[in-house]
Amino acid sequence: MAIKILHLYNNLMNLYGEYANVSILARHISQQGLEAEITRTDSCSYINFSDFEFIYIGSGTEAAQKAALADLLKKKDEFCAAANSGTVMLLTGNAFEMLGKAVTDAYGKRFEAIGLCDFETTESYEKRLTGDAICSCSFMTEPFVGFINKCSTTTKTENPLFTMQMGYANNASEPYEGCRFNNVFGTHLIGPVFVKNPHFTAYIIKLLAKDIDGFKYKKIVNLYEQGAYEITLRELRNRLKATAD
Amino acid sequence: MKLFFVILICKLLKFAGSIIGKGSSLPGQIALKLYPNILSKIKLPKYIIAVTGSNGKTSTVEMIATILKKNGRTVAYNKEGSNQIEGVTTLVLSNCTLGGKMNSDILLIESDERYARYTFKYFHPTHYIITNLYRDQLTRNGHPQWVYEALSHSIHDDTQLILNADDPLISRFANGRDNTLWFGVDKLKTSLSYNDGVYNDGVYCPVCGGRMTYGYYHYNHIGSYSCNACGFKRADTNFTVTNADMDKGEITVNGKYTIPLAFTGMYNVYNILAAFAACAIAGIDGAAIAGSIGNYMLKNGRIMRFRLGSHDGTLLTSKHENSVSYDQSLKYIASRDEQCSVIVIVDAISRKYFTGETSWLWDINFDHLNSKNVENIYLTGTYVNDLALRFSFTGIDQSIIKPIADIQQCIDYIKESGSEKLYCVTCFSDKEKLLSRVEVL
Repeated sequence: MAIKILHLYNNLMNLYGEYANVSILARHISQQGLEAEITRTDSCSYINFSDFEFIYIGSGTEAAQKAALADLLKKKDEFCAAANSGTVMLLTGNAFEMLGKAVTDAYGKRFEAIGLCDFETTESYEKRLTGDAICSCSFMTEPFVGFINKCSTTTKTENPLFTMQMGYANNASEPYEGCRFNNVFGTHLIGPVFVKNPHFTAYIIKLLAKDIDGFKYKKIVNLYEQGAYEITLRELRNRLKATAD
Repeated sequence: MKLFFVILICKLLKFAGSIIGKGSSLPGQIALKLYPNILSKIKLPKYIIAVTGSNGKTSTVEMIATILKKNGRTVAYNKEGSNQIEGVTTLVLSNCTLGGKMNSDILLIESDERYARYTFKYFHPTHYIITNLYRDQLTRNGHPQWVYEALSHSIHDDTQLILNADDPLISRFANGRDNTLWFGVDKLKTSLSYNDGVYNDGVYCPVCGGRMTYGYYHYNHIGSYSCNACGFKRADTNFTVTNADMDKGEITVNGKYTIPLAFTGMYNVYNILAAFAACAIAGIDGAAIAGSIGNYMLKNGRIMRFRLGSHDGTLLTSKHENSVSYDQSLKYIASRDEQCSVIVIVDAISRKYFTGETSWLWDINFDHLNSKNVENIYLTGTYVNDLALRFSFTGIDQSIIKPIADIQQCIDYIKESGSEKLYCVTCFSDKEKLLSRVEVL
């Protein structure tokens, strides 16, 4: 039985090499002796969300995100039903914003979003918030590393995913970032989040395979992934220390 | 009187800076502090040509300056590449009289694309060449459309645009303007029917978001496009590479001017074409331009030859955080007949601090190196793990990929093994780490 992966908006929302999240996940799945089957599409018109065990959406330009939202809204109920029933999803960069109630653009135009969560996002054209990130979460001991690259602030997140030790949070008045709903993980971390956080990839695979008969997770260390993670964490912590001194 | 003193101070600082080898932004920075709108007080020459875009600015400016000078024009330009308002102020003030009159025929400016709107607040170019907008330094730039917005605020109504027709995003700058001039490359033998990048920034129309169709691609999303929804399409070109023979190493511009190439990379072709357009607009005859730029070797250190043990090597300076720049270098290597090995150095992405942002490595099509002439691929530097991981997702035979974290060890290893040609692909920020360990020719 293959684990079915949907990479939604793979052309439209692909600003930061985010296809690699799917590549890495598929490799890890096969290292566990399982099979991964990947579907990629820029429109959810012919998609049944309930057919998939894992759904991924990456970041796009502000305009691309609105186009993706318009498409996703057509199947909003099915999407939310999948989330409610425990389908594992990862939304990185500004795809995360689509999970909230609305996104208001820099000119004040309000776009209805999926409404799976209660938060709201407002974009600005003045300034881009970019920088490295170290963050921790409640469900793993290892910290996450990554990069934020956004032009928006998000407020009223009830179930944030991360507490930030370094980097931009959802908004300037709290240290929290992203959101978690059931098995849906939303974060403004961009790019290959799985590439730089092998522990997270392992965590997701355990979630995906938990109902497969006889499956037992084998611990596999991919040296390059582990090395990249450790060097990144070490160097970013050095930067934090240098600014604290 | 104030003008006089500020110009004098700027000139003195520039002179002092040149003795101690300091950068060229500081004199302008101080001049702007003393006299914020000083640029609006200077009598500028008839031609003010600016060049901006993600890739090719410095090389294009160097070529324009070379052609103009060979044809008897005096030209002031920012050769050190200080391309924000401070550097441009230094350039202008150090090339004018103490009375505030620029004494060259042409002012030629390489301009940073994101900050051009500040540079061109107190004066603006008569001619503005925009080469391209790619995914470039996204850690600062956000994304190409974000830069597009910033750049659009630097374009004034009475400036004439000279645009690369083959880049859909920048072609949009011509909307609502009627005197835009275009340069582009016709369909060539080397043109492709598919996008050869890892990602495709040409899928959707930059104007309406509809799907686009391409007649051909030159590289990545550069080519001949049209939108199926709104009709937005590649413009007809005024300055055109009508033919290119890469085996012979020459291009033909506008059907009649043949220009031999010192370097056959496609980006070099675009830079030469943009320079051709600028100089033709400045009144230089086409044959004279072709005669001045034939076989021209850039002096800006983008391409350098070196020796290491029994190896002859070429450094192809590329830009970290710029996948198109890397793709161009990789394609060039794969297009060579001779057997070679490749060194990729990613040691410091930013000169200022460590960043963990390596998503751009996944945007580079390293599969270009899956080529019969490539014998070994050496990966080195702080980001050796990220590189090795990225390469593990290519179709390249993994046994030829050699990650050696320490740069010195990597160079020593190569020195002791083989005598094949070497190509090194790395960025300005890292190239000294190679050049200090080899014999530069």
